[in-house]
Amino acid sequence: MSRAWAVSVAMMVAALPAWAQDVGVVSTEQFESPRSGGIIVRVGGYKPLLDDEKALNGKTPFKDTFGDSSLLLVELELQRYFYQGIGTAGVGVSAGYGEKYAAAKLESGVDAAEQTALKVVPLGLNLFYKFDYAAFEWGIPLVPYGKLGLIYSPWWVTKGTDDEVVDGIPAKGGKWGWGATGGVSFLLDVLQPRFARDFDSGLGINHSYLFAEYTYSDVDNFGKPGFVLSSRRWMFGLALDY
Amino acid sequence: MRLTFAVLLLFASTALGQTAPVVNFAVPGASQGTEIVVSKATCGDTRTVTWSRTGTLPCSSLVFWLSSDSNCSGDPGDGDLVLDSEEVPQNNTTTLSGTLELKMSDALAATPNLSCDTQATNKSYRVCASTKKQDSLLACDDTASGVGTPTIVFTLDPVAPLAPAVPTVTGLDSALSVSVTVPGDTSQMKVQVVELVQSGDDGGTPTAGAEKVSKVQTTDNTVFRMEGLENGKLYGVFAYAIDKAGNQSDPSTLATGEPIPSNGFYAAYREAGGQETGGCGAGGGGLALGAVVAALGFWMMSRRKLS
Repeated sequence: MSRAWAVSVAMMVAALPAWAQDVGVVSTEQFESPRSGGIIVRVGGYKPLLDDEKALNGKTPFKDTFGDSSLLLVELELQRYFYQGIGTAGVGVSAGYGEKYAAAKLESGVDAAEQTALKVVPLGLNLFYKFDYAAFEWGIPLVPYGKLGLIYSPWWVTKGTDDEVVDGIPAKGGKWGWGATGGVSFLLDVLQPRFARDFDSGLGINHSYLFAEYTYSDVDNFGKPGFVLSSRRWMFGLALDY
Repeated sequence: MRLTFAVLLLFASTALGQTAPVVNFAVPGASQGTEIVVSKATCGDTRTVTWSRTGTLPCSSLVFWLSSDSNCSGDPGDGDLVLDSEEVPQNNTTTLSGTLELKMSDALAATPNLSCDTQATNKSYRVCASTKKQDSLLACDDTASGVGTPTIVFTLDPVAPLAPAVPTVTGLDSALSVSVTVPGDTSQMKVQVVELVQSGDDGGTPTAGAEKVSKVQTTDNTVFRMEGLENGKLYGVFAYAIDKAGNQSDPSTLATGEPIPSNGFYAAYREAGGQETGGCGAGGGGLALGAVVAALGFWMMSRRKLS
């Protein structure tokens, strides 16, 4: 009997370290999986500066047709991080879509029953840096960031059900340009830390953010004649680190 | 006692081998679902229904027929048409599928004084498969039961839909937009654009001339875009309703419309002096960037995350 007690006590003592590990306080770092990139979805108003083309001499065909409101632009961006130290840097690619419809015009200038539309698909390749060190190390949930990149925007204009053709010229093409973006993200993890950890351990999503950013882009084939798809715009969205 | 038990077991095993007969029908093409509708014009045409069966036929043959009262139980009666050529004999185990050839004219002829020409209202028949089944004690039923599924209805619809209301016509660039109202018993709408012929020299009311263009659409799209027309020319427009059987209604009252030239955004831009002439820019580099973006995107998403 005494031998059985001795064995039992010995087993319990041996198990104590494991028990302590199981119920002890665990730091958040222990749950965090490696970060390798990001996924960003954003929306915003996109108003191309088409009426700024010099050859138009102050005429405003875009405003006359579509009015003052912007196109609704939706974009998806994928990022790959190649530096994670004092902040994070990497490369991102993005693709978006925006369209705007309005009534075509009769010769008299009156609205026709037919619709005309401008459609754009901005594609981007950028380098970015975000200062997330303060968020992770000091608990300040704001992450400022900046991007600089190349843009290519395929575009086309429709009238009725088809692409518009004027004097034998089909209204479709693509414009090169560049863009710079600055913004600030709010780290959502601070609102629900436990949920954020579960999100990481379950799905591999390290952090999630809401953000607002301002983009300055010149998309006019670097100053050549033709469409000016440049814009100055605010966009808002959700970003996920994975 | 042991012998009795063995015999019972033997019978039971036979019963276990018997399964109730079931016939599955299908309409090839199935554009009309489980309803086959013919018009007076197609009353004599052959329509087909395929069948396949499971189970056994221990009590009677499997009979296929058209029931005029939608009841597939019992034996075919007056006004029903038995499809003799497809009957499957009792205990047959080899004929497990086949094709029924249905003619509305034959079905009507099963009733005295009925024919494609005389039938002025809708007439429907249900496609039946029936046989006598065994009960749980292996006794055969006295009457046949319907064993076909799903319900297939074969209908003669000799009545065309009502003519649609006058359509609304709007002028587009080299086209007309025609909005139609769908009357009841209609599965498709047809719009016909016709030349207008001036009657007399006094500029009287124009009348419909030769067809210029026509289009048929299902009723879920009630706006027709009629293209290939001349700007500044007045055209006549008729709407027709078409039912499942293919019966076409009388034309609607004649409407008129005139295609009008219009400018889209690009025309307005060019007219204002804009110099954009399209193209991909910088030697089609867009394709290159697109390819780079696609490749990088693929690379980013396909790299496995370290853990």
